[in-house]
Amino acid sequence: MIEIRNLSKSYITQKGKVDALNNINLSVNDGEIFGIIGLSGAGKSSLVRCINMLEVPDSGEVLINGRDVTKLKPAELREVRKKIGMIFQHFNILMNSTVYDNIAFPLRISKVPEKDIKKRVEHLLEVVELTEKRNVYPAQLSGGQKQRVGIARSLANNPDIILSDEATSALDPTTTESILNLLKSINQQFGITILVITHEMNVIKKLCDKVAVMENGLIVEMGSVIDVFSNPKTVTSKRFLKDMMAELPGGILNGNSSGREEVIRASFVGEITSKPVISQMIKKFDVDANIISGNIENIQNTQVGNLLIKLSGNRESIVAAEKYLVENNVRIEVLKADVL
Amino acid sequence: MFFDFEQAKLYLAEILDLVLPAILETLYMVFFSTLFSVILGFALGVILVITDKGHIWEKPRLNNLLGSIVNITRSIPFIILIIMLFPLSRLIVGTTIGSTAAIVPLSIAAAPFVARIIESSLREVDWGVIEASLSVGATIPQVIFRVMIPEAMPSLILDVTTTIINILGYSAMAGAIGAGGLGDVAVRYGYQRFQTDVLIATVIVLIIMVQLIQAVGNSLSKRFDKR
Repeated sequence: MIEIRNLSKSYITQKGKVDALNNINLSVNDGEIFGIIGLSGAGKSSLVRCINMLEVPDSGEVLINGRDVTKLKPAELREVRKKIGMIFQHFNILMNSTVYDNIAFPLRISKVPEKDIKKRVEHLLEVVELTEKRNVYPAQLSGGQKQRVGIARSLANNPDIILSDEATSALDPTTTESILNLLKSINQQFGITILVITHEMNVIKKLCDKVAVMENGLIVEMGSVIDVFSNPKTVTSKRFLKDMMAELPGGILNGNSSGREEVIRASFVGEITSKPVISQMIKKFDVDANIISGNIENIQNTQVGNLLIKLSGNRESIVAAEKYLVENNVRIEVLKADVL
Repeated sequence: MFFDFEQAKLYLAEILDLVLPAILETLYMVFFSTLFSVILGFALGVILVITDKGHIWEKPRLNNLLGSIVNITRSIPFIILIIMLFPLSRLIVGTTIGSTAAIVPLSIAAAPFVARIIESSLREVDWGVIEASLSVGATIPQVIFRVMIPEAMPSLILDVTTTIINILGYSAMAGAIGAGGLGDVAVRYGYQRFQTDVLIATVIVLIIMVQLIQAVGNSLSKRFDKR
């Protein structure tokens, strides 16, 4: 379990003091995949580096299984670090060492006997599907393969936690997909807690159980991925979700004078996506519903649907129809109302 | 025209008699001076890198102090440094004359240069790789010997190559004030006795030596480069 309490860090730059982390509080449960999303400069990289103390916070605590890593002696810190794997955007593997030697590196510095190293590395090569590449130098590997080496290295010491710092940001979509699948299976197979830093919503959607949205050194929104996705509360979160949120095109309300018109966004989560709620609503109430746009996303095996609907009818029917939707667990948001 | 082979042989033997021992002296001086200056310069170079701001053993004062010492030593012209280091040579070797005595100033003069080029090679090692090794619990010596040096190896080999060639040049200068070697032969015979042929012979030998050293350095560096 990782608990971050009142963590703050600031830098002095030429422009003055910048708060990279501003009183961050967050906790990650064992076995969870926790995502932190934010634009570059939001402070997410500093946050993840404070967990293994590659960056030292100004104040606050980072408790890993109840132990505050900010107060450890150097030798104790090194031992704690061995149980926290880390993977990086640019892989950061040794270019002058073979795949095998790269994966063996954490074990060699821990002075593990060479015989045990061999066993462990060979197992890890299988996990990341690089057995044939064992004696190859990284220059001959593709980006995705290099990241697999990085992942195998991070697993070498049997860590409890893996920190992933933009691990897929330098990879193409197909490779990203395969790396995300690998991380997911590592999480499931070995029960390793994974903390993922990213600026790609796609990564959060495919991989994470929980998400924290960061901006200017602050966590602006946090919760289960489905909650945050189906009902983003802050502008930042909405901006990240832009691709999957149905957008309202211009000129939709052109007042056909027969009554009131409203454009609403209806969000569905889970089972309800498969129920004919809208058509029942039309049957029950005296409203017309014109579906402007819509989509359904699969997040963590849960369907999250998003519809933009133009309702027209008299005021009372529209209100009643909306009430009906809410009663059926559809979250609605009135985007535009035309008062006639 | 009649070409006298006997005469030519004699002439060649005479030059070889002069140049061969000088080659050995030069090799002796260059070898040990390189050895000592690389040991000294390597240590200095590593410390200059790791004590710098944001690196693995941040020590700003030590960094400034060593940086200044390196700069000061590098600003003294070599020929003057030799004279200044006469007492040290006498202390260590017992004399200020001869090839062994020259190793002291040669090593000390080359060390700060070695420190700077080693420093710049080690700085080229990607910080991300160092960070990654820290993240798996590497100690400072492990980062230096298992990450920084192996990763910078191709360029470190070229640094040593450059150092050997530099010391070879310096050793010729040292020859001018009694160190022996090719420089000594060139000055005494070629310059003071107007034996241009001897001068040319030493220059040819030096050119060949530099070419060989550079070729070996390049090929070794390439062999270690897997990037």
